[in-house]
Amino acid sequence: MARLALEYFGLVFLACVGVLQAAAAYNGLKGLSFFGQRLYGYLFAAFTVGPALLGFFTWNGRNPTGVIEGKEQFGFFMLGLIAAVVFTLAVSSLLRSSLLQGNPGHDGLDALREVTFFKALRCRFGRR
Amino acid sequence: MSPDETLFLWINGLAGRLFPLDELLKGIANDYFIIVSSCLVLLALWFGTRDIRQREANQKAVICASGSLGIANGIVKICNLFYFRPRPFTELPVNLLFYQPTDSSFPANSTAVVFAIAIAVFLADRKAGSLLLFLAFLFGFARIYVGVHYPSDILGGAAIGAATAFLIFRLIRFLEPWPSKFLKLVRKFYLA
Repeated sequence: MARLALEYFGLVFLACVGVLQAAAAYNGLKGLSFFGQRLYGYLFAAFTVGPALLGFFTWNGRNPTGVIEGKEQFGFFMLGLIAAVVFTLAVSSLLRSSLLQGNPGHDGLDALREVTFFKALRCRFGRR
Repeated sequence: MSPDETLFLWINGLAGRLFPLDELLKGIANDYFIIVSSCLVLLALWFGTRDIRQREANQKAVICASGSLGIANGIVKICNLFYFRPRPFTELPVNLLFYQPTDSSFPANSTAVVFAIAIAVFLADRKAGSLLLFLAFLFGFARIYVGVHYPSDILGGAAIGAATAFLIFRLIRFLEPWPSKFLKLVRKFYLA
């Protein structure tokens, strides 16, 4: 059960990180992206979401008797999703901190077109 | 034999004839692939919508979908407390391409979840909603094809999912401006 849960969590995490990179590339959210060019964002997404979905597609073939119950599935999905969002915000803020400067001119996700998440938070909550 | 069983036997009778089709529908019918894919579409809608008005509508749809899938799941569980329908493979000669689930066949829980997500999104974004509805129908068909549900189980699950999504959509509209205020608060943290 622990191995299945870990596998499920890992695949969800991988897929969510990929989707976030694809969304950042499509939406022009430079502060959320790991890369300077959109193309790399899409490629990263293809190389993470693709294998993760393949992992889910072939799940029953690889784990013929392994089932994760609905409640646990929901819990591990949320855990994987939150981990992926935190990971993306932290890594993009670290990787892009030197490239994106200035104060965000917008609220919400649009601010991440100009600055990183950590920088935007710093600007909003005082420590500039 | 009931029309439900006749239709089940016809669809399930297609299984075992074409190996690639069997493998494709086995992958689609499993408990993870379509459900996780639908949830990934929700994540993409939350972060990936360019137009700010459409983004707000999509984010409300994501909230609606999340609420709907939980409530639809709860309704199915309550139905299962009062009514148990055996799986088709326990009653009929079936081409079973799947493991043998032990819970009630009616209503189909996983189908209720994917339809709840699809309808919630369709009400806000026709394009993404159509994609999710296509996945939901494919999932429902695949669950019959692999031999784990009768067509009426899928219809029951889809009806519960769709009705729940409509109700939650209405409820979110009724609760305005609170959902908008919630999104505004999340926007202050640059996450919406």
